[in-house]
Amino acid sequence: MTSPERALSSGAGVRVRLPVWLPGRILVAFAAGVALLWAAPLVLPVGEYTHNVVGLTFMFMAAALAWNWLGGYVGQISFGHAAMFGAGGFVAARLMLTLGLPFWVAWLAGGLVAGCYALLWGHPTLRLRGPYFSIATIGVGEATRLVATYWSGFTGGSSGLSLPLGGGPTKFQLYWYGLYLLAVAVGLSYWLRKSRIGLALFAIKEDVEAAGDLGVDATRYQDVVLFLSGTMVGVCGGFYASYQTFIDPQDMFSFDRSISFILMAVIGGIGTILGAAAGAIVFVVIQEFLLANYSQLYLGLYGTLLVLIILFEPLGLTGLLIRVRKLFGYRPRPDIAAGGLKSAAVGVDARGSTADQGVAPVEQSAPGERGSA
Amino acid sequence: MTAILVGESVSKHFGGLKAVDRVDFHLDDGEILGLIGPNGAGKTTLFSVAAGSIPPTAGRVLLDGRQVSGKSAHRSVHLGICRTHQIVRPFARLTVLDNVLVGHHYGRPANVPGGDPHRVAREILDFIGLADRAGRLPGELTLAGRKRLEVARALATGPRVLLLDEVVAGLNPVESARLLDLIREIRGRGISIIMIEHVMHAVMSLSDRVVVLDLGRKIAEGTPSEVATDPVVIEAYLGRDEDDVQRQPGGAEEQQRA
Repeated sequence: MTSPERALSSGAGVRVRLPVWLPGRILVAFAAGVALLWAAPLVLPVGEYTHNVVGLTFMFMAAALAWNWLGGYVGQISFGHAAMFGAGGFVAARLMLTLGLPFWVAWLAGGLVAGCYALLWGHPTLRLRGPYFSIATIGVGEATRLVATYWSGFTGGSSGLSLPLGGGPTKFQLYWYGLYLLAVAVGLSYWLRKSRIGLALFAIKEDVEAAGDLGVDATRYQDVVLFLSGTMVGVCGGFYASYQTFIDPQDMFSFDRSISFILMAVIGGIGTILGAAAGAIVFVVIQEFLLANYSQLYLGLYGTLLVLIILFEPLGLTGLLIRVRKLFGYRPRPDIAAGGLKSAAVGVDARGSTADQGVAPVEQSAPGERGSA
Repeated sequence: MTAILVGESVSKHFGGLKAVDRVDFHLDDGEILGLIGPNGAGKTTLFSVAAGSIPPTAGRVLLDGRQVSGKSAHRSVHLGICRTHQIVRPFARLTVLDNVLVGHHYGRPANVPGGDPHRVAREILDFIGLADRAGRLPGELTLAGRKRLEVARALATGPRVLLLDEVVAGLNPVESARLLDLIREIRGRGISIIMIEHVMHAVMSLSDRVVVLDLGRKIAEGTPSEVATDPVVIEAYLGRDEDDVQRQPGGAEEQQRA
């Protein structure tokens, strides 16, 4: 009824109606990015190996973004997302194997099952906060892994499941499906972060009780975010099954996998959109190029990286970027500098310019007065 | 005047501790009700129950005849009752403006029209005196500023009843005088207020009526001047005069000595 649907046009006569938190240039940049990545392999002469790894990276980026919805936006750090990754992967594989469903139907079904599974354990455990929630998710992840390992009728036990060759898209084709997955994840990330929902999520992250006292239904929002996150990660699991054509529970449900989602988001900048995606790239690069040569070293490297980031730059790559930009005279808004939310949920100023999501008037009071505080 | 908020025999026990013990109270439309009592009297607990943050052990609180106690806090907010916290709890990494917008977006009762959120939030910040701090983080405000922010956020939810928990405590005389004016103005906007306060001149000058709690029980109720001279209240705050203690039960003792 009110703000989120405001005509972009202020007098210009344009009939496009976009939500205020979605400026046209973002939409254009997004579409251009997707189109570019879609066409890139057709034009650029990259090897098949690189092409495939990039496709896999897209999937990991999507998964990292999905983890970030819960871990970054709501501040509930999950150490158990492998449970959804594995559930989605095995349900998808089973559906393709037994029922012969098309791969994308199987992915979606796997994702939904994973999302519902996430709700099943998440609804009660999301009442916990901070480390208590994290510990609960470790339990969930490990329990799921054990159940999956011993439920050999469904998962094939420790020998895993092999998908029929030629039944689904090839690794080469999966590049594009990975891209679609990523596009959906980025879109959802943006929506969750920038629409007014982002404000509620951030309020929950900062102080769940105070958020409740201002009317935010924390339980519902957390449930919804966990469901979306679980579904997305589940679909990623399905993609992974199609990519590897062989999956086994020890790999899909491993604790390492849960950790990997956290690492990707933390490396890039927890709670940010592009940060989590960039973190996934770093992660895959490290994994692909170090794992081959120093298979024992890479875990140590992740550990070191994590410690360094937490100590010196809790916002990861995003924080580094802000630092570098500061050297060139960029003055971030105080909330962004603090790892906060650049809220676009506020809407265009009533009499407002069509300018920057109505943020401009806020900024006017900020510069210059620093000394007085 | 009709009562807008009614507490019926509200009790809240924490194990064996009766934090609030069968307290009846009512708040009239447009009234400022002072809620005072020594530390540990159960004032904040009563607020928490009334705002729906914690369920009562027994009894209930009604806002316009609709129960607001025993639900979750966000549902009580939607019915039109909002509390502030004694120890301010701003969202530290949201700007002052965004803090207010959380209340505006999520706290409004469904039937209250929204208007342009940006304009409404700025209007509230103007009113509360934080307009020039809209883009700052709460951590950059003074304590007085953060207390104002706490009130501004609550106002943004469009409440009919506002529960203010020690908003004046800890402020210097100038700041507190300004805040008291503000509270009067809020009442002028048709919002009924219950305020917990230890700063006596604040309660006494603002309140139409005062309720006194001690050890979870309501021990007095009346106009500020009635309450201030009530011996029971004086006893709760200061204890009994030692001479009185000896004289009353010790009448026999004196006789013996004589």
